[in-house]
Amino acid sequence: MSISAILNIAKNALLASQVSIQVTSHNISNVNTDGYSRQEVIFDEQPAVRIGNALIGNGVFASGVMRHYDRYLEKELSKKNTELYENKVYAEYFQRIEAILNEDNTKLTSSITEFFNNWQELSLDPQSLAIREGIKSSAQNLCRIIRDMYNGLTQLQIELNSKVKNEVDNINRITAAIVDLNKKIFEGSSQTSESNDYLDKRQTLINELAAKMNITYFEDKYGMVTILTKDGKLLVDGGNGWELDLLNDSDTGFYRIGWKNSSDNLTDITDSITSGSLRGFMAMRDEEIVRFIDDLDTLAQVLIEEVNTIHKDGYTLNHVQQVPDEPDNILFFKELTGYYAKDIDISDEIKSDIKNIAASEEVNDLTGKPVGNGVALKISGLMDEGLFYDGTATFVNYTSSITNKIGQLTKGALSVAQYSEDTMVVMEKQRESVSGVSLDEEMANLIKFQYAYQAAARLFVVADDLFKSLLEAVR
Amino acid sequence: MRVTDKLRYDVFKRNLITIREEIDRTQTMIASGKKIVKPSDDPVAASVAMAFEVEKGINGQYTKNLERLHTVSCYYDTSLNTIHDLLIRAKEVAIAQASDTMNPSTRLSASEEIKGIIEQLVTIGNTKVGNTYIFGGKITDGIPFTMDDDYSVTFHGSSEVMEVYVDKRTTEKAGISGDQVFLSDTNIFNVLKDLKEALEGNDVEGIRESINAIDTSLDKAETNIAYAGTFSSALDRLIEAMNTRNNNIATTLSDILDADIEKVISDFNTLSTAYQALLYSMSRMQELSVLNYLT
Repeated sequence: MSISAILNIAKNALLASQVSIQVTSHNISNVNTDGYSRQEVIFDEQPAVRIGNALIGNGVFASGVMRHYDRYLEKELSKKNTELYENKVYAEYFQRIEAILNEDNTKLTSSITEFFNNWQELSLDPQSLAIREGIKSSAQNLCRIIRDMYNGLTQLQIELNSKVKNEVDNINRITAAIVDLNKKIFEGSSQTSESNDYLDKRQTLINELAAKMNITYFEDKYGMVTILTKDGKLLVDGGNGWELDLLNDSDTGFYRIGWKNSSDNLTDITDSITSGSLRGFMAMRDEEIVRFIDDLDTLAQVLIEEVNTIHKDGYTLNHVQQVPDEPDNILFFKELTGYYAKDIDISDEIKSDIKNIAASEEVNDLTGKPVGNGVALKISGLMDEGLFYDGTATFVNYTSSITNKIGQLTKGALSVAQYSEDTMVVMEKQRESVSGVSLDEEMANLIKFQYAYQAAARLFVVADDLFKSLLEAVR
Repeated sequence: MRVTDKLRYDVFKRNLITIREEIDRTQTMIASGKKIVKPSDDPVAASVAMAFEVEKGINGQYTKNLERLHTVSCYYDTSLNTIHDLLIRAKEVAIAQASDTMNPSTRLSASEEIKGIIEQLVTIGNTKVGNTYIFGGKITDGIPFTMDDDYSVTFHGSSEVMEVYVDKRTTEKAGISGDQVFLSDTNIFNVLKDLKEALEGNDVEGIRESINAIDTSLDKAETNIAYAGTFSSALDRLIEAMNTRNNNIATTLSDILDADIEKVISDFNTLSTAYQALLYSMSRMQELSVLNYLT
């Protein structure tokens, strides 16, 4: 065994400590990086050298950089992410719908009451023009409120639709990045600090992708990852990626999701996206909001039809006598055949002349003037009639059931999102405890490696002294 | 379990957010005085409260209707009493003039008084409150009674009266028709016209007959006064009942919606203490680092 061997061992030891200090610094500097996994240098003994009959150790070398990481936990986390982000969408958008429908903001129900109360006023004084003016403005107000609510809901649908487009763009960006990282991981040698960072980055991207839609993924023998949609369409396979694209639903005009194969043909995979934020956006857009739009439509339709049916059999202040005398057949609300809540408005006749509001259902045979308050009385009576849910619910029952429904849904969505978040926190804690960086730990390591470095440097001095004594001996 | 620095900060941050959220919610309660701000705070209570709120609005309208009927009923009361007085006066005149001591000239001048009474009755019949002739029945826009030169009176109103809502699905007659007061059973105008003509024609027998007819008219007037009295006291009771109901609704609404301020404020204090304690513990935790011992 030569003295130069000591120098060699010292050099290797110095190098190993240096690498460790470098990795420790890397850990310290990434203490707050999301998705970062703590790294550690793996030391190995150099192969021993046989001297005589003895095998003598030959120092150390850094054989690799290990990443503290729990594969199964990461898989669970990405699955949990899918659920969490879908539930977050529901919580956010149900709250938005709630704000649109909240009686405190809309005053819908109190406007309905005001409208029918004005008809009662007219029943007390069927000739009054002032009360007719009141009926007209309260009806216009009520129509505006219903239209505003409708517009609020459709605006939300449009917003969700553009979110679907954004998400698809994001998914394509993420899969492209994952493909890129797959290649780098394949090319890079294994277990260096660099490829560990690629693995961390890729895992973060996979989690991000999983937040958007349900996927399955696995690693191949080269460490590259394959990602599939729920119905087995490939998104990433090693160094190849497949894109998603938007299709237009001809019924609703909203986007659907298509998968583009290698020859650029699109397959509709919308129905196989059953969770994740993308599913959340589409479910809100196509199912939940639509339910409330339908509710508003029913409300508007019943209001229009019931009031019109009574009103057109009435005699207005502009009634002209004929023989035999017929009702004026004037509609109070504009007649609609669909999109009731979107277009609800009072009729042009009423808009242009409030005398066209009928209060009476009889006419004086002699003078041709309207008699009594029959129409006003009947219309104001609608307030307490069971016109919804097969005759079991009045206007107020109906609107308060809408309030109850959105309240229940929002409350449920909020508590489910909270639950998802809580379980996510627990899992993230576990992940942190495996992969996270503890500064105290790193500090201890730093000191440890610093001493090892100093000791190795010391070896140089010893070897140097040995050489010196040897040289002096032969002088 | 390894507790890393990021974990420590994340947990701190989450706790901070949770408490801040609670503080924010409590503050909204204190500011608004309400424990239910959005339907999702308590869906059932929110929808029940909404229905009650509406009922309060509708009851307000019923109360308005009742009060309006009550005002009109006062007019009926006055009018019917005046009619009664006028009939008594007519009866006095008839009895006086039926006496053999009277002569054609006194009878002729008495007929002038009867004419005056007929004119006054027509004026009463045409009483108008607001836009409405109260004796016109359903026809409220035209004069109900017109009188010709020969003191014959024609009724242009309807015998039916309008109805208005005074409660859910309950209507009440909005008045008394001129037909019921002046015409049906005995036509008061005809009775007085006959008297007037008998007086003019010095027809003692005719005058005597009118006394009986006036008696029948008086009976009718008294029945109507009693009817109006019952009507008005029924309205009083309904208004009273409506007020009681509205008070009950207000109490229930307050139970459902209003926050218990003492409780909320004590919650708020607990939360702000927790918040301060959290900040304090974090600042103390920061001191627990090996970095503080390395020089």
